[in-house]
Amino acid sequence: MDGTTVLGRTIEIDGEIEGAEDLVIQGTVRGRIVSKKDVTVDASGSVEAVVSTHNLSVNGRLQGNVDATGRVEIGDSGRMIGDVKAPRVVLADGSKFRGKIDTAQED
Amino acid sequence: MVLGAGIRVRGSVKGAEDVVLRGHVDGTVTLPANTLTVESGARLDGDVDAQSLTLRGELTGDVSASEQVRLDPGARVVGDLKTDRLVVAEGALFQGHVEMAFELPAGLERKR
Amino acid sequence: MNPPKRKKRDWSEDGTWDTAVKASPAPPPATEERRTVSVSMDEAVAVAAAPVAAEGASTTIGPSIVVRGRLISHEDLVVHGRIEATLRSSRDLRLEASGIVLADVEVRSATISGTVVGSIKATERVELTAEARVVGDIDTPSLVVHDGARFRGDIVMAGLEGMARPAKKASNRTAAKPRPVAAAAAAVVVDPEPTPEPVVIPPSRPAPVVVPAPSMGPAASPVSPATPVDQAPARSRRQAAAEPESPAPSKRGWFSLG
Repeated sequence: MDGTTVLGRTIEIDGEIEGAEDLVIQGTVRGRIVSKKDVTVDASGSVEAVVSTHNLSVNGRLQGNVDATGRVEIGDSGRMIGDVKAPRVVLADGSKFRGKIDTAQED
Repeated sequence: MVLGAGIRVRGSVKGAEDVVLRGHVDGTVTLPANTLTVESGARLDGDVDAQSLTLRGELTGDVSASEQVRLDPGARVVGDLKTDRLVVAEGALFQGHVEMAFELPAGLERKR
Repeated sequence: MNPPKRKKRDWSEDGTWDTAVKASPAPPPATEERRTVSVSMDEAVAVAAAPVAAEGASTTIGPSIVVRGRLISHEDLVVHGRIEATLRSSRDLRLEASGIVLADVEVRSATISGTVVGSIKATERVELTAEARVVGDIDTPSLVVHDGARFRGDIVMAGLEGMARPAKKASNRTAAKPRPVAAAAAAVVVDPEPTPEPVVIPPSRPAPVVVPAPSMGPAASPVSPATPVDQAPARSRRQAAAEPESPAPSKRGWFSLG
């Protein structure tokens, strides 16, 4: 089903989120995120998770490895620690990133 | 906050805002000062600790609600409920224990 | 309300009386004055409505009435008084706010505004109004509980068989339990207090009140649930689900980022 789920600022999820719709994280997620659509970590969001998604946009904090089929963008307020595997990666001016980036599609 | 129909969570959900569940949560939901609504078509496999719970979907788990539990038509619940206010609508299905604190009229407590 | 009809006595198969209690429409509950009549087995008078009671037939048990023993009815019952009798009715029970039932109830439907200490089993419907106070188990296909009702006990409703919790399903979660067929096979149980019980009858009483000797109390209470034995281990079952592999980078502070 289409739609967007927004996990509010006070929401804390420990575990795994599987999404067939867009996911916006304003709160805290620890664990794993698996999405066929887009995942957005808002400025207030904090994610410690392995992320597997189509597009990912990080304006908050993300710690964990990311495997994306589309584009990964770390916004200017985004902070990320982890390895990124995606065909397209954007690090905005002002973003902070530590990890490996792999844009080659070996599989 | 709405957990959409396409979302599935395995794990615990905690929060300080009202949550509407349209998808599927497999784990505990803790909203000590807020309301959880499990919509029709949604499913929760896990215990709930909330101020209020409104159910139109499926719940398998124990519920502790400091204020109210409301089972609307279509609700399907297997689990135990602990609350002080319970409303069950015609068409809701429930199986489990209900615990509400109250006193019987004097002299009836030990009749059985 | 129909005028009460006198019916002849009728032995049931287990040798106890099948009776219905006929009482007048509620007399004024003004005083605590009660007439108490002890009815022994021999002189018990049965006023049993036939199983094919006329539609709309109804019995009201007034606020000053106490019925002990066993009460079987084939017409609607409206209870303002106190019933310490196993109550079985093929029709409907309405327990008014002043009414008290201290025994198990098996009826077609029950609307409870009073107090019940005992199990309620209905073939059609149970409704607890805002004034209801119920301690006991409820077994019904359809349940309505109004805000304000107070209840402690187990609820059994058919239709949830597929939903039993894995950890609890195997044992005695009642979900999978087949609904007993009309308590037909209820065993006879000796009443723990086999003394003749008094019947209290209101002063103005057009119809005779019948109460069977209580020593034959049938075990019409198959509903008492098995005590859950397995509640403890059921709790931790989900906790295991949520541990994914940890994100690769080790924990260095966010602010150590260059």
